[in-house]
Amino acid sequence: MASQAIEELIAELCRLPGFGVRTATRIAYFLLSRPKEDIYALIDALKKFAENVKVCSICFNVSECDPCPICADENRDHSVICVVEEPQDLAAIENTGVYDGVYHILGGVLDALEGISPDDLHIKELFQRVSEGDVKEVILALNPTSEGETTISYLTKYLKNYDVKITTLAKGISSGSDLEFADKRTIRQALENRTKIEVEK
Amino acid sequence: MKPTVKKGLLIGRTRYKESSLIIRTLMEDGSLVSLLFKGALRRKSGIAGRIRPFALLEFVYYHRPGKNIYTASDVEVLEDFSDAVSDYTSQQRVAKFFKKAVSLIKPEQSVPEIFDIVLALLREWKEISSLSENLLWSGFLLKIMTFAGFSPTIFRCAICGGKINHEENSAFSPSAGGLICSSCRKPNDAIQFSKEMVKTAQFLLSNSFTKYFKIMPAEDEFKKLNIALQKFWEYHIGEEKS
Repeated sequence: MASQAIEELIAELCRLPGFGVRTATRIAYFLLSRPKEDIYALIDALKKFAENVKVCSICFNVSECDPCPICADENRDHSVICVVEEPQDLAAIENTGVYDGVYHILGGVLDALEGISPDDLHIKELFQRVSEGDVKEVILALNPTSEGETTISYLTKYLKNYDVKITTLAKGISSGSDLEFADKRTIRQALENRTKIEVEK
Repeated sequence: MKPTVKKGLLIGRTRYKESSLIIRTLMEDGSLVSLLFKGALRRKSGIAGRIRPFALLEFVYYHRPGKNIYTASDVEVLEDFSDAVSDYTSQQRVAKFFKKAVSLIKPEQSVPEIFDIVLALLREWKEISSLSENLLWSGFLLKIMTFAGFSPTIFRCAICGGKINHEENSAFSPSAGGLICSSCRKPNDAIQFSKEMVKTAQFLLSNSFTKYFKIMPAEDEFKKLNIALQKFWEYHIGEEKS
């Protein structure tokens, strides 16, 4: 039987997504093999994370201040809101460097099978932002899954009551992928959303 | 090892590690099977797009006795019902039916008829979604309980075994196991059933969902039938697993 401290650590690690008892045990024993300074550095990082990371009260992004730097930035276009599922999606769009509007993080997507309803997401807050602010466009940048599509259709149903342009990300074959691996639906969407090649004459 | 190829319906999914998915399925043989799709979320895999809810899927996986989760290698969409079940409200309604049906299947148990009933519900959803919720739910409960071995007696008296006379009002008792004729002594939990309700219950069990449009009793009657069946469920099956 392992010591109580190890068992407590394993129990805490097991609460992380994708961690079973075996993985948690492996991590616990790995930490035991590391110098104490490494463990303290990890504790310090977790402590800082718990104390300093805040959720933005406007867009629900995570940062060290509220409102987050994106919402507080006056140089960004606050009339365009890009709706994403998770903060990681925001980071992915930010990394492209082509978007200068603001964001709204839903915190997931509607999933009837898993019982995730509109009340579990930041949907009410989005409608409030759209109704109160000077919003001209809402980009629904949700993942192209069936749950994402359901959420887009749900949001569209309500957003059409406001005077805003509603757009979604283009769908189709992603760069670097093969047509033979794509499903029928993706190919159909790619064909439907095909773009004209501008040729200089 | 030879792969197993089976048709099934997606009933839940969980992201596993960085790019894998664990899905829960109701298979065509009426069993509940968990499958692991390794690397399904990787860009080149293309599998995640085919793991769709509200669709009849064909899974290719490696069945290993004694395992709880089997490794799957492929999935194909055979029939997609997402056009009929496109909005969130419909999906919520269908998910409620799924949950109830699945709660009747125990681990290691197979009830193929439950899969057939759920698939019929999906195939006919476009047509039947306009039916009264209470009517559809009552018919669904009657069907799934019957095939899972919890059928309420609705053609004969649950106490004396005599035929239910359509000309007389009867009662429904969860503790007695179903309908009770007018001559038998009614238990305390008996709910009064009109002759129309008796006929409706018998019709719902014996006919397909699309035929439900033929019956027209008042909504109150359906509500009463629904309550009676729900009490029967609670008495004989109990609360469903979450």
